[in-house]
Amino acid sequence: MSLNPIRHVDTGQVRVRAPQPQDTARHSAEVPARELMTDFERTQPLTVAPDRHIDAALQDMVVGGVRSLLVVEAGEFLGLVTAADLQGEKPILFLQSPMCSSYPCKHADVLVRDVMTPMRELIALDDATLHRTTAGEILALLQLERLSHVLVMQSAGDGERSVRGVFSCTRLERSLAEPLQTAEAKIVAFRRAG
Amino acid sequence: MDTLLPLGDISGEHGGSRAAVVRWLEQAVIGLNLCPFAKAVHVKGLVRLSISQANDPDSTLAALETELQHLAGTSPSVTDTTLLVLPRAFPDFLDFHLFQGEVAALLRRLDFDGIFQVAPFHPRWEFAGSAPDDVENCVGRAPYPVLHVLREASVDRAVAAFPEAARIYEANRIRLRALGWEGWNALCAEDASSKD
Repeated sequence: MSLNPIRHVDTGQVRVRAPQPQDTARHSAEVPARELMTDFERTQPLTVAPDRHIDAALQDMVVGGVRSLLVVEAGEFLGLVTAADLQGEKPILFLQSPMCSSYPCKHADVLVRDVMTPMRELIALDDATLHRTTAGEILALLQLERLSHVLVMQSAGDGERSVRGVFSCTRLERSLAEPLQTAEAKIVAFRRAG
Repeated sequence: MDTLLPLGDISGEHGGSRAAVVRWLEQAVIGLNLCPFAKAVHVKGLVRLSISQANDPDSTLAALETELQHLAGTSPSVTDTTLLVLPRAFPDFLDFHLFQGEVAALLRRLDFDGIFQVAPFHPRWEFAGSAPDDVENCVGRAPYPVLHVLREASVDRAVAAFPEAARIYEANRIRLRALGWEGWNALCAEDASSKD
């Protein structure tokens, strides 16, 4: 299945998100999945160029407070890169592979394009089917497939497909977890008081 | 070309945040000897200073997770400790304080309990039982909310090498009371680092 270049990953300025206090609320696993999706119609996605060095991309993630970036070149969606891609074994596997054309192949040679999941290998959900899906089901899917993120694609009337949003395993786990005891938080913060 | 777009916008701001945090680290934490272990790692360049524009609990936890994994994958001889600076997150101390439960939950979820600990600092830090304007609260204060990630092994080593570790807290209170607010404010003022 090939996807057309997406149109609404805007390469203009990304606005800084307003605080979203509802994010801290706990949800039941039965909550509609869409409520816990990062919706790119409301939150502009952070993007990265495929030729960016992996260390720089990692810093971009810290700056943006995200664990994944859409890889975009000249407005065209190429794939997804996650923190796990940058921090796990992928860079080392790339260095050891014939794919790395430099010699000797060094960490400084590894770019986002070398460790990202290209579009053709991405598992994506169809936005049109999301209304039947609960957040708990998405979390179960991510855990089963051992994915940290899954994209949601949507089709326009003319058949063109675009990236609508992303689910993050971490965010789902946190949102669906049992509420933390306030007392626990207090103990942690005031431990420093001795 | 960079396509992560806020970079141009925030790099200037980053410069200001970075300078303020370095000033706090050098003038207050090291200058006042609030943490006797800070100087050695700072002069050796082993402190990673990472500034995030995260502005809510989810994005802060995402940035923290990335920094925890980074520290886990890096030798202590390259980076011993990380300061995650959060100029846009948690303007309210109580929110930040309650958020520490989420931080503890993240450490547990990542199996980093006993490997890393996270020490919070906040511009409006208050110790339990203190008044907001007690100068001793400055022990926990930084120019921005900061999550300081420490390696437990490094803490154990430092404490073993410093028999008076348990008395650091009391010594800090005495030092800050002697310094007073005027002294503290002068220390953290913008031109403080040029005085010496």
